[in-house]
Amino acid sequence: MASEHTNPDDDPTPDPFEADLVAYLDGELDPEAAREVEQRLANDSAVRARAAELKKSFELLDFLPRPEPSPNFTSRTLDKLPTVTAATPLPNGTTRTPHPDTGDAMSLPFKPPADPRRRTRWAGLLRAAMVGFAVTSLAAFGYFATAKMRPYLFPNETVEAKLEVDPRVIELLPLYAGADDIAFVVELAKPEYFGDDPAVAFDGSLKVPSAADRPTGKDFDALVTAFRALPSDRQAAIIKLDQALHAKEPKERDRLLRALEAYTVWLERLPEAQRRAVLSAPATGTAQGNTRDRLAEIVSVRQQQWLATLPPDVQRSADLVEQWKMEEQARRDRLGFARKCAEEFTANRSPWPFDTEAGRKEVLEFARTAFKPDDIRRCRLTQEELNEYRRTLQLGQRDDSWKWFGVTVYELARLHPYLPEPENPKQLITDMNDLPEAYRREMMKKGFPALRINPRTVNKWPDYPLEILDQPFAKAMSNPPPLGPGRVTEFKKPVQDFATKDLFPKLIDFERLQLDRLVGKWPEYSQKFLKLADQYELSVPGVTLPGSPRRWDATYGGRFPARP
Amino acid sequence: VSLGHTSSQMALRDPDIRLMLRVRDADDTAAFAELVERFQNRLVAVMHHLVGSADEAEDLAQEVFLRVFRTRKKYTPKAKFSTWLFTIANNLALNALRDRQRRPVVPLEVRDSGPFGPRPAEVLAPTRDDPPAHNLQQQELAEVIRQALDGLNERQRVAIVLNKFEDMNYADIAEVMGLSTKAVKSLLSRARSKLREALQGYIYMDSEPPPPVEEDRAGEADD
Repeated sequence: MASEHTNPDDDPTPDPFEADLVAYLDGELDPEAAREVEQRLANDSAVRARAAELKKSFELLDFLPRPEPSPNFTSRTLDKLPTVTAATPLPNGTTRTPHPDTGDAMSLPFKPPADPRRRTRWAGLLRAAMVGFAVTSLAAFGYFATAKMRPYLFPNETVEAKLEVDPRVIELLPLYAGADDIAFVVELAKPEYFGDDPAVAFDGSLKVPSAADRPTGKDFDALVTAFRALPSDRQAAIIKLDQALHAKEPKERDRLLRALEAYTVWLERLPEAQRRAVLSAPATGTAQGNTRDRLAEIVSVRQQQWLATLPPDVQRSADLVEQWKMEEQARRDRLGFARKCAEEFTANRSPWPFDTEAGRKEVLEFARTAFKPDDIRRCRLTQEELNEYRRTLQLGQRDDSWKWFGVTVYELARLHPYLPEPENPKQLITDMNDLPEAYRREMMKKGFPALRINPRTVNKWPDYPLEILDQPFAKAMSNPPPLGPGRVTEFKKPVQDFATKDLFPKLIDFERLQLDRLVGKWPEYSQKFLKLADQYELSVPGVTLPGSPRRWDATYGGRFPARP
Repeated sequence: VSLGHTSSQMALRDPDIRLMLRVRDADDTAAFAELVERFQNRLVAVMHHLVGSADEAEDLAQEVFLRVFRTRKKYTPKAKFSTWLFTIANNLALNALRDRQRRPVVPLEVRDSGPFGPRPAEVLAPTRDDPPAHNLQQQELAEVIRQALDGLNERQRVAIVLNKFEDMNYADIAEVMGLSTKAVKSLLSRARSKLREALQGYIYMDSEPPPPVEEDRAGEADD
């Protein structure tokens, strides 16, 4: 088949050594030529660098997303098959004559939904969800038709391979049928979805599935069949979900399973149209445009249900509905908060990170550095914030009730993000006298009345230099000198150590490059640095809240009811 | 079915060939469906890397399978089934890319902004698996790489994609593309040089230990 083109390119013939080098990297060079390349690599650093660049740039291709075909790709392809006798494509809209071996079964289970792109992902799921409701209803949805077709679709050797599905997966299949992945299930188990369900929240002893619900005999077989009828990527997703669930702590696993059960029961009782809407919605997080993803669809259906429970008079008044909705939300918030703290309250324990002496100390230290509550001149908090800070701190110190201080520190840290201080105190710019000459000259030129610098920022790091950069005169300057540390070596020692020991080893090349491009720029470099740390779940000593950022979010994020 | 000795041995070893022979000899659509199941992921991925658009990739992959079915009577089990499949894929992809060149259309996906330029929020819709910021980086990087791939001519792109994502050796690429291995070698060499040039700014040459903050990355060497 090979023809003897040597230059199929429009490009000029490559440098023969470069071609050898690439072939060497690909393992395609014969031993003799390979030795020559190795020799040059050993002797010439430029060649080594070249080889490294060739290799690394090729490796970068791994970062391209790997799209998967839509789940009904096979069925859509089969639908386009010409009739086997004619061997030519049929015009659009013409039905295919059934295949003699498979009969109409071939097209039954694979009926493409109205809008393939939008709905395909969940078409399989829609069918699968039926399993949970009644195994007998599978036939209606084409499961048994699919089963009949199985031997044709999968030759014996692959059927054997596919038999080895964990029975646990099969038993739980009715619960998995309507779920995307573990993140979806975790979301489902939140109070705003099914976490509030008494069986989910409180009955810790409830095991799912209960022994009585375990499918046996024919039911089990039907589930096996149903599972095998699913597209392979959906099968893989279900197995992955099962593994992720069972990798959780037993208590959490059971809670999630209970939430899944509550969801499945809820789904089962929905009117057909609503159930379809939920099951055919795009996976959570993948919706585009105005489409609702699955979780949003669940919220929407539940709101409709809630609305339907209201007295007709209330339903007719938009204002009342809004008011009741808010009341309902407030009730949920209180409940949620009570639940969050319940364990700690009953155990008379302080919440994380105040549950250890060291944790308390670290948070206090952070708060003192970042907000400077004890330094009247440099304090970054408003009077109101400072009062709340002191009050909640007292609640903690006096009553050992740290929850509110945690909330306060968390909120303040978001309101007043801190940036790493410079190691060199001369670089710490907090008033006009600290500013580089170039800025002062500009300010003089403008005249102070025109300057509108917020006086509250004076003496405060990093608020003052940020305020200066926000001034029109600063924006108009060409090449303004940086107003803060623009490289790791200019940060304080603990942050430098953090960078070299904790953060940098985790960064991928691209992130390092992005950071390096900002060298010398303030506040961009610092902000990027903090952002990267946050991405990798790291706390920057003395700059961001001590401990895992996500754990702060989980413990103190979200709405809280009115404070005591 | 009569097969030569080596061929029948190969067919025994290779379930894909067995399936394809059932398609060829018995018009077995179920066997065909199995082949589609087995190869759709790889084929759609390759097509996507070649044409850059998910929708077009899926259409092209579908067309490849349909062509496999239409030309099934001509199939001879002389190499791996995948080689035959990708030969068809190569032809269709090259046609599509050339067509597109002839009548340049609006880009199929948003990729008009530079890697660090402002970007419309909806392009950045994060998946739940990654923290949003991380996702953003990956998207920016993917965008840059996509552009680097687009900078190759069609044949170079095909060769690179088969080499990288199908892990094909030069001989198989030569078979698929109807070239000599020598030609593949120079094709890939040109392509890799171009990729190196395009992506040079995105390779970090001295990742450990953390380098001094000033640039001086190794390898401004030649050019």
